[in-house]
Amino acid sequence: MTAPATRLAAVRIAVVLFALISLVAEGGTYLGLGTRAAATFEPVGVLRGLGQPLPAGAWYALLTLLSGSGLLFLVGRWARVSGPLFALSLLVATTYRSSWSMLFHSENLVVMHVGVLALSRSCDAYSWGGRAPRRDSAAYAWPLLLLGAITTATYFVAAVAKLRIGGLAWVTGDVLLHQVGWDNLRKAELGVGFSPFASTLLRWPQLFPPLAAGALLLELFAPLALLGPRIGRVWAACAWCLHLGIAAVMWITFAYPLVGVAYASFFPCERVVEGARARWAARRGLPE
Amino acid sequence: MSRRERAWALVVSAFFLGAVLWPLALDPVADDDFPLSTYPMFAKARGGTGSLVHLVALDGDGSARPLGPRWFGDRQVMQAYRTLRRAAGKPKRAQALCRDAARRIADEPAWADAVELQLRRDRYDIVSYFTTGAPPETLRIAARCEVPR
Repeated sequence: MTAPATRLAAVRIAVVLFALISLVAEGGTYLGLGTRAAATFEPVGVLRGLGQPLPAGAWYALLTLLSGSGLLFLVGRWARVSGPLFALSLLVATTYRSSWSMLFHSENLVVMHVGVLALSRSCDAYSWGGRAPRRDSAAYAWPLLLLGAITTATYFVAAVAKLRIGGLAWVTGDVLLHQVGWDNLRKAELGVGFSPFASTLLRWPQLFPPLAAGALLLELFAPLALLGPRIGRVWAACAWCLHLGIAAVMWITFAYPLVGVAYASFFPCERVVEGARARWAARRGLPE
Repeated sequence: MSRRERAWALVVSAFFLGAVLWPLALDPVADDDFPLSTYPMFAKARGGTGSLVHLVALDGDGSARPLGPRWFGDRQVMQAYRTLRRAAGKPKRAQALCRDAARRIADEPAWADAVELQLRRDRYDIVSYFTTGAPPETLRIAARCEVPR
């Protein structure tokens, strides 16, 4: 199996751009961690051994390193250094953010994806001063396959957790109904926005078992998406719909899958970049 | 690809896939972590009733309106909820949080009708709350304070 260098590079641009935009969007929260009281500090993951919060200066230095290496990796500059540096600093920064009594599961996948892109030849194309890209090669295909495998594996793990914790009652019982109700109730009573569809949907409890069954099957059989490009794209579209449904009925937005970047490796993303380049060239009257 | 590149691809793939699948060998509830998650959210049965700690403003008629996270701490809703839960378990902290939030809303036109704040734990029937607008089944006040005017 082979893929063009531009496909992997386009995925790199999408994933890194998403990570950087997320950092900017959550900038206030990230900066605030530098001065947060230690009372709620519960280090997790790779920071588990950290006895106390980082000094503010060290935290801001890490954020600076994260932003700088991220920008360099985005444009493909000094990729052998900027890529791993960005992946590592992103892992530490997001882990640190999750070390204040709440795990941000929405960041798991992007951290993993950046790690794969940093350790592969994702900067052979669309890069500033990168290596000359080869023709279509397996060197560009395996990272794409791995990105897809990681994505589907996370859904599979989530399905197994539902079966291990809730058993088949997760499908046949009221687990999903109560999850949707509870999540919306909590938001309503904490004075924040909740789903406008919640009260309507909760009047129809018979809808929940089929919804639960669909979601569980989609997660459990996610690895089948790796069998071929077409089935992969169909699965990605279904998974995207699942997240759209979650956003609609629970008011929970998993931005990475919702904007589609989580599934970018299943699609010929280079066409988006090539299309944009062609339009830009046409506008300037340049040869493509 | 060269033999060396193939070996690298295998090592990286084994590392990442092994890491993502590793939580399958762990306790799905107790061992959740970052970024290697067991993804336990939405998996647990919680029953048809649930209690939650929240901060509400009471007007002169005794009608309650919940205060959003911006008035008592973090804007992130789940972290704010944890702040409330922690405070509710410690009377001094609960009172301090209540007074602090009351001071913050005192000059806000949107809260002009608020006369008292209560940090309390309410128990709800989840479905009835949405389908019939049912009030909490039980409530327990952890702290109360007047809104200074």
